[in-house]
Amino acid sequence: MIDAREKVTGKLEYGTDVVLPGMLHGKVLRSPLPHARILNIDVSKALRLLGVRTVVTGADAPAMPYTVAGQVLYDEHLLAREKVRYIGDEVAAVAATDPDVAEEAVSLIEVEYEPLPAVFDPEEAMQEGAPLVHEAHGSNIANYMNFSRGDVEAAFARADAIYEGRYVTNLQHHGYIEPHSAVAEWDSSGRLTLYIPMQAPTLARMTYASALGISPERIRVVQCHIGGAFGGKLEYKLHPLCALVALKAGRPVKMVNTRREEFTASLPRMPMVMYIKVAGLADGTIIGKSLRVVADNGAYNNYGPGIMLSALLRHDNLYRIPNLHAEGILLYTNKVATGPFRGFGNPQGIFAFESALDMLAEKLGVDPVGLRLKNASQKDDLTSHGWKLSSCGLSECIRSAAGAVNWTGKRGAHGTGRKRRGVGIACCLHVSGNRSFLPFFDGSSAYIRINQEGKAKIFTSETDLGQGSRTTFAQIAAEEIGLNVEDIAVALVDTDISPHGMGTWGDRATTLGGNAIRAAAIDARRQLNEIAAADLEANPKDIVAENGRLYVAGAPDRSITIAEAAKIFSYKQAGAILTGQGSYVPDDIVSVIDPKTKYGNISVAYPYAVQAVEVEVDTQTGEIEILNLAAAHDLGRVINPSAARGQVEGAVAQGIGYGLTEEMKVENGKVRNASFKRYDVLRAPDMPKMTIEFVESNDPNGPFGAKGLAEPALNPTATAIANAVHDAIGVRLHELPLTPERVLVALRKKTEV
Amino acid sequence: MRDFEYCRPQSLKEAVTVLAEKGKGAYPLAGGTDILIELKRRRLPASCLVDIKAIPELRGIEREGDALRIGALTTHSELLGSSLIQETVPVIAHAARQMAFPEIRNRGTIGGNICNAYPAADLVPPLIALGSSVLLASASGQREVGVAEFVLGSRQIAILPGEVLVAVKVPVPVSNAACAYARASTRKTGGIAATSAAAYLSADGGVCRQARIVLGAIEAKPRFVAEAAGYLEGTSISEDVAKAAAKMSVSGLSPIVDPRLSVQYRSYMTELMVRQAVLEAWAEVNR
Amino acid sequence: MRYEITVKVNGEDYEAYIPARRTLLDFLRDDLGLRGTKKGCDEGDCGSCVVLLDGTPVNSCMVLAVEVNGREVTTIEGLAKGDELHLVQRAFVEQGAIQCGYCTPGMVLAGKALLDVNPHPTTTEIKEAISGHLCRCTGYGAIVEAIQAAAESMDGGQRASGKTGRSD
Repeated sequence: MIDAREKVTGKLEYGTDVVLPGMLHGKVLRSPLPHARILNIDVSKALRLLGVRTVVTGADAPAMPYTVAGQVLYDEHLLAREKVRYIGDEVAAVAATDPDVAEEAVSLIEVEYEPLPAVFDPEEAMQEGAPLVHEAHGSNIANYMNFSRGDVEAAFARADAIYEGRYVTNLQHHGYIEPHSAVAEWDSSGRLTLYIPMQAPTLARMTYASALGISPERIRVVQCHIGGAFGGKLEYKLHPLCALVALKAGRPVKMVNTRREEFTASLPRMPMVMYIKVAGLADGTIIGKSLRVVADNGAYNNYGPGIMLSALLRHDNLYRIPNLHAEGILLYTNKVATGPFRGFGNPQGIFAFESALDMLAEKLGVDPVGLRLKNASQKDDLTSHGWKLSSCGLSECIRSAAGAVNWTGKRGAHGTGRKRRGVGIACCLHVSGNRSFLPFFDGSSAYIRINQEGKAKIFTSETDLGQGSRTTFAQIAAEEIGLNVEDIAVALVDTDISPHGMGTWGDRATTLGGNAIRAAAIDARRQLNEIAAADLEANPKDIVAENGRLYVAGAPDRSITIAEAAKIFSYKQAGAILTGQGSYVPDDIVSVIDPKTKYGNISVAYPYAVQAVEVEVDTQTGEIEILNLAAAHDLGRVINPSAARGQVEGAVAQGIGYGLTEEMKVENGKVRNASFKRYDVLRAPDMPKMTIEFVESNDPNGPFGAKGLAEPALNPTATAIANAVHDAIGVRLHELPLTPERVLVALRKKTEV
Repeated sequence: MRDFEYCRPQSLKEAVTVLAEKGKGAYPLAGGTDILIELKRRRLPASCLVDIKAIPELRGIEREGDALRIGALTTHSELLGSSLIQETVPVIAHAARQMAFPEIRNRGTIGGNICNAYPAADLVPPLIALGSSVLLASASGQREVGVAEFVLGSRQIAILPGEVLVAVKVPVPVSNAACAYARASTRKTGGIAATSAAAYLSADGGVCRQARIVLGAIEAKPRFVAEAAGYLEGTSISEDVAKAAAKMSVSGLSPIVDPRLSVQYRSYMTELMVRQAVLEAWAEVNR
Repeated sequence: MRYEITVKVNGEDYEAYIPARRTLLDFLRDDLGLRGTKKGCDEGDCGSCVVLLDGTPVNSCMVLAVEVNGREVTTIEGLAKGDELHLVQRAFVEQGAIQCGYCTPGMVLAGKALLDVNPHPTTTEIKEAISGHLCRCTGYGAIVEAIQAAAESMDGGQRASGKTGRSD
């Protein structure tokens, strides 16, 4: 990893580490009520406190509502105006000379509320007469989708077996260790600089311009190193709010979330209630599936529709299923707004679908692995949703994962004692370079500058969230230019300098960003070859580059260094720096997914992940122990083996948490376990034995064949565990996480029956 | 955190004087692992923290006749690492090990664990089951109170203004007696106890002579379950006997709310923990 | 209320006049500018603020700066000797035990503190030593291996004779 040394010495500066001269510290006053009208706000006591510089309320914020990039439901304000919609909603903010004073000042702001009836359950929010979270919207339904392929009713009519079930998923927090932060500074011309750890600075600039009611040109976003994101560090209200406070204070302001605020007011994973029906033929062919999702948006829309869409259809593309129906209802509730989180709806949908597949297999009397292999999509398939699978290692992944847990030897051999064992499997495919929901552009661009010392610097707008994409970018550029990785740096994104790019989400970084960087590297190399050819009196086509040297093929002693070539370029161009430019526009992709039918090829490539687990269930305590977990991943091509392993292991840890322990407990709108003491993230001793297998399907659209890896690795974990539990104790668990209590209740029900 | 005063007395005498002087808003500061969280959440009206860590009388683990005297400042790590504790009351080391993580155990103290009176405190049930007491000092002298009487409820202790907990006195179980502790949590590593049970048993000729069972975490205050203990006394403890005693232990409980788990599940687990603690203690007695 | 303290941090003496409510963590980061020590939760649950207090790992968010008057603190900035990384730091780099890096300073110090008292830890002992440290990126595997590798590199040749690197 190119920044490992800085990280291990504590030198890397994260968002929380940014300090500006004269900087003030800001704090947010958040709503203590889930739904209430604001009658009055009195800030006078807070303003009188020594050290307080400013207090802002809804009256200071733009009246026009905003939303995040590419969304159409404008439902947010920087500070609550007439009412608050969840416990944690931003009501006021303070800037003071130190964080303790700011905190004190927040406690001195007096707000008079008129409590309103609140709604917490999405299915209740659908009912006639439910309290409206956004009156102006006229309904709690924030989004509705309904689409079909083939004829699902006809399929159900001719099926040999049908399984129907209701599945419920949990509110999971990203748990990145670095909390959200922002430092905002306005210059004398009225231009804002925001120092933020942000996955997508370009989107930030657009969204925050709209939130602040100014033109994007007046905003410069400087991306800070990110201490973990997992989808949680896209647009976040603290950033523009900090800008608003700084504007009123006339000084730079820094704001950092407490961990409690993280658990109360960030953007955790969307809970869903899912009604699924799958149909199959006696020979194990899946012929139809319908899914109805009731999704819990929380108080604001954010990227809700996209997340729900992903839960509705992504998993369908795993198999050749001709008849499909999907209905999605996205509901506002008086709870924390939910947002993107590794998997983006996919883990939820997979929980319903891949659980249902096992139940269908049982009804049909076929082996779950056999069923999946029989129906698995293959390379060059055009799926029912119009996805073009330019590479597909799914079947190989299924065989690999099943083999690694000794599927045939262990399936059904659960024993009879207090502790029962079982094996389970679940599959996923994901996007890699998700089709943008912004209509005006897609793809990625980059440039690479090579200076007279032969050192290269890459400029891109695809960020590194800590997963090591800067290292991958450097490796891609090194390979094309002929430099050593140590001689390549990757600049942090600065929207004043970096090329326009969409940022890191939807597993875009490696695929789209990597392709753009590769193109820029090829462009730089072309220029180097021309200089070398002229200098060495050879044909540019015959120039070979290696370890920072350019030489004539077959005559390694006829050479110059890349540094010398870059110097020649510079001298000839009045000091200009040799710059390679590249952009990547994914071809063969329809410009926009059909907004009604959702039909169309959404991504340039599709990675696959299959995980199989062996569990032991203690029938007395209900505890589930994972004895062995096998993860098989088709990531196209492995560019950085150590980073790839780290991605899978980290995602699996998060996936096991999703499956077994992690749940934000909300009671009457209040998160009751808002700390790492009571929110149970896996720790080092909790990790199971794990084997990882990489399948290289070499995607024609990926740089050197590579596809994304970070998101898919979490998607199937929880469901594979649930399927293994079913094998072990014969009960199907319908709700995540699979807590000991739920296991015991299900076991008791089974004995009662 | 709100602003507060800080002082660091060098002797017990100085500490009790300062505490008496500062009055209601003065709180002793030992390891700080609980009190700082309370202060950060603005839940404690502290105007002065009296750092007691420089006081020599509050340190050390010593055998005094039939009992151990454990200084209030003894950290969980020290409890874990003490060979004296390992030889005489290993259950204390076992309970200390359940708590949080090494770094927290390096700071958190036995005195703090008791005075904080958090229902899930891991040291309290075994200390009560063993019949331990606390030594308290004030400007007007010293007194000794049983831990069972000292812990009044969630965050409530029978401490008088100006008093400092000096040490914990733990009777060392005689050769035919043992104490065991079992607890359940929502996670394996470093989780807060959702329910716990300590069982102290003594035996004579294969028959249980004396039994004390204490439940922790499930109610606001550690609970002695006399009926179950009485049931065990005079029996030769078997799996079935333990099971029956465990069942008795959970009748009439009034569990505090734990947002993570239902009352039914915690009661069920309490029963399992009692069973486990009884059987472990019995196995130890008969070793 | 403010108090005067003297403290040795990474071998250097500091005098400061600070409020009682300032935690050691905020003192290191904001007063001394040693921002390698990270704030992740501020409640002793995540381990990213761990420093060595007289050689013992503690959560610096759970210690007041006034409490360390007269004592010695080692932070991540004090581990390398000039350009030469500490063995544990080197092992983290070499084993790929780092992703976002936010937990890394705390993890490295916990690893160093463990090896100081237990030069040949088992993997179980290593996992226990870092159990108070959350890492949301790596799944811990590479971190455990890095601490193991550092232990092995500390006494090079003995590994072959089976005396070190116990695994269980």
